[in-house]
Formats: sequence, C-alpha cells, structure tokens
Amino acid sequence: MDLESLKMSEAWIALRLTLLVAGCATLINLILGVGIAYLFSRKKFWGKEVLDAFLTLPMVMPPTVLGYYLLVLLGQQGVIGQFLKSHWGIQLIFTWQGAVIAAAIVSFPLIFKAARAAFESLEAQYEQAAQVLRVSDTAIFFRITLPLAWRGILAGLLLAFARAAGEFGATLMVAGSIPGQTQTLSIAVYEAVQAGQDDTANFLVLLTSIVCMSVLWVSGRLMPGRVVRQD
Amino acid sequence: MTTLWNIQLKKSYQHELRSFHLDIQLQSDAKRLVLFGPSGAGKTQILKMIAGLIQPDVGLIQFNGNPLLDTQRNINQKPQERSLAYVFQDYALFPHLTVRQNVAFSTNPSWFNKGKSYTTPGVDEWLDKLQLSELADHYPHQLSGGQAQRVALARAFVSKPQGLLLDEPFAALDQNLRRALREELQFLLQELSMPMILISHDPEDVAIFGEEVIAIDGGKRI
Repeated sequence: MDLESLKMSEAWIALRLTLLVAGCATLINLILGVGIAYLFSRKKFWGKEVLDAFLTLPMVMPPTVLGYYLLVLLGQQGVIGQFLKSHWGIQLIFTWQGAVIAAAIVSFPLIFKAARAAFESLEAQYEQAAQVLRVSDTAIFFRITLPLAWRGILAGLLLAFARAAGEFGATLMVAGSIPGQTQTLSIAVYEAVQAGQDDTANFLVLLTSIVCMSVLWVSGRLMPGRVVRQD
Repeated sequence: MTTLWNIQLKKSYQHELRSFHLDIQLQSDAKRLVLFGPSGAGKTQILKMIAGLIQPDVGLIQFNGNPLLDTQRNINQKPQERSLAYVFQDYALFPHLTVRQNVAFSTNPSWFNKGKSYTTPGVDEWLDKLQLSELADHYPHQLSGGQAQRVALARAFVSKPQGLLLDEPFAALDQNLRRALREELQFLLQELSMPMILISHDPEDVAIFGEEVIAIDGGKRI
C-alpha cells in the first residue's frame, strides 16, 4: 500500500470512529436527555430552573473549558477517575470511550432542550384521556406522550448527533489525537493541516461536510411544522 | 340505601388578576345528573375532580358508596381505578391513532400501541353500533365533528365504565347535528342504564338529559 492510500484508509477509519463516538453519545443522550426532559416538564421541584441552566451550560461554555473540567474529574487524580480505576480498572482519558463522554456532554443540551419543549407543548388532555381509559402511567408515556412529542425530540436528536460528530475542543483535551483510536474526523483535519498534508485535509473536509449536510437535511425534514397540515 | 353520588369539593385558585373559590356539595340518586351553568362557572373543574384528573384542596367523592376520594381518610384513587369514563369537550381523540386504535385503546394494557388491524369483539361491536366501521382506518383529523363525538363515546364505552362523565358533549357541533346526536346518546344511555353526569350551558341539554339539574355559578350551587 502506498502512502497516499494509507492516508485515505486512515480517513475512513476516522470517519468510522466519528460515527461510533457520535452514535454512542447520541444514544446516551436519547435515554438521559429525554428522561430528564420528561421529569422537568411534568414535575415541580426546588431549584428546577437553576438546574436547567446548569444542564444547558455545555451549549454556551467553550469546549476547551468543558474538556478541562472533564480532565480534572476523569483524570488519574480526579474523583471519578480514581474511583473508576480502583474499582473496575477503567481508564477513560485517551480512549474512545472518553471521547464519547466529551461528545455526550457537549451535545446534551440540544436533546434536553428540544425534548423539554416538545413535552411541554403537548396538550394535557391527551394524557388525561388515556388515564381515564385505565392505561398505566408507563404505558401512557410510550403510547401517547412519546409518539406525540417524537418529531420535536428527533429533530433535537439529529442536531445533537451532528454536534457530537463535529466535536473538537473537549474531545481533544480528554481523548487526545491517537490515529485509529481517538482521532475523529475533526481532529484528523486539524492534524492534516498542521502537517501540511493538503490532499488529506481536502478529502477529510469534504467527507465531514457531506456527513454534516446529510444530518442537517434529515433533521430539517423532521422539524415540527414542516409537514403540510391536512384539514 | 347508599346515595349514587355524594360529592363535596373545595378548591381555591389564586391568579394574578382574580381568585376563584370552588365550593360544591351535592348528593344525588339521579342516573342523569346535569350540572348547568355559564362557562367559567367551574363545571369542568368539578367533573375533572370527579374523574381524578384534578385534585381538590379538600374533598369527598363517593360513587355508589365506593369512596373514590376522601382527603380526611387519605383515600385518593387514581383516575385509572375510578371506572369513570370521561368524554372531553373537544373529544381529545389521539391524533396519531386511527379510529379503531382510539376505540380499542383501553383493551390493550401493554406499554406499546398495537397495529392498525388490532381489534376485539367489543371494539367491533361498538364500531358497528355507532356506525363507525367504515371509518375505522381514518385518523381523527379526517372526521367531522359528529363522527369524532361518536368515536369518543365508543372509546369510552369500550372501557366498560361504571359511570360516564360528559363535558359539554354537544358544544362543538352545529344545531341540527346536536339534535340528532342528543337522541342517539339518549337512546344509548337508556339501553346501558349507566349513571351519567353531564355538564352544559345549553338549556336544551337540561330539558333532555336532566333527571336532576344542579345550577352552578361562580364555583357554587345557586
């Protein structure tokens, strides 16, 4: 294999890793983000709006700051890092799993916000109608609440996937840039440009753009209000 | 002998612009009870409290001697346990489910919706009885007001309730249709001999369904 095709195969590995990291991060957020958003939309509790602001913080904070926090928490000396290492021998820093955590935290607010808005905009009477039909509360969530809020949640989910796939700052700080292990597309682009490998950079940039465009196109099609209403 | 309905409810609402105090007591043996009053009188609040969808501050609800709610004794059955069907003013048909899926909703206790072809003998019987069989695969947005009301009634009856709560069931319909559907409901209620509470601001509803009529305004009996 010559040098050029080796670079290209590295690009495909980076793409696969990017999709894996973004996919896992999105899956984590699907469960956590939708679950927490549902609690926020249905329960009243003390400090709710402060907690909402805290959970939205990753959207406005520089990713490098988030990455630093994560390093402090998950690193060898960090509270969580030490605990994981001593109990299960798990180390997250400089692994693709660490990249998943970084990507999940950065993209969390996109799902959380979208899901909370979707749940809050539902009319209460559909759930009430299901209650008097003697269906359990869990069944109501899966049969009424989730299907009616699904379009809004899905749009948030795809935006979060795109954000996770494009993650750079926090991922670089937490997972580093190990080709084939933690080097995602966005980091590979940076490395290629730094090394003066214009051809690789061009190819990677094109690949990334196509992936991002596809995700945004799909998410645009699923945004609430885009269907033609049938009267 | 026990009274059919024994209801005492109190609840205070504080809004920025006005406060509203609901304070209602009623005992009735009427199988057709109409709560009559202008809009904003608190009728829907009362009906939702009976169904368990809204909680009063203090209250007692006994249906056929069975305590559905007793704040003093800490009894508060969930809406699912009260066996009271509720027909909403604008029917609240589930927009993502077909007519058949709406009607069959209560017959499926599982966590997920069944497919469009799922049915039971009870569902078929009610679809047929209310002339909905041909509309079974339609979605709620494809129905007329009268059809939507019949779906809401079929959905309620399929759940085999002990009693029926109707919130302004004819308000969303035009005059001619109201007359026809009143007769239809009248006929069904006679056949099932099911206790019912209907709330309305329309004197014609009172004339037809009001075995006993309780007038309400400003959250109180008048």
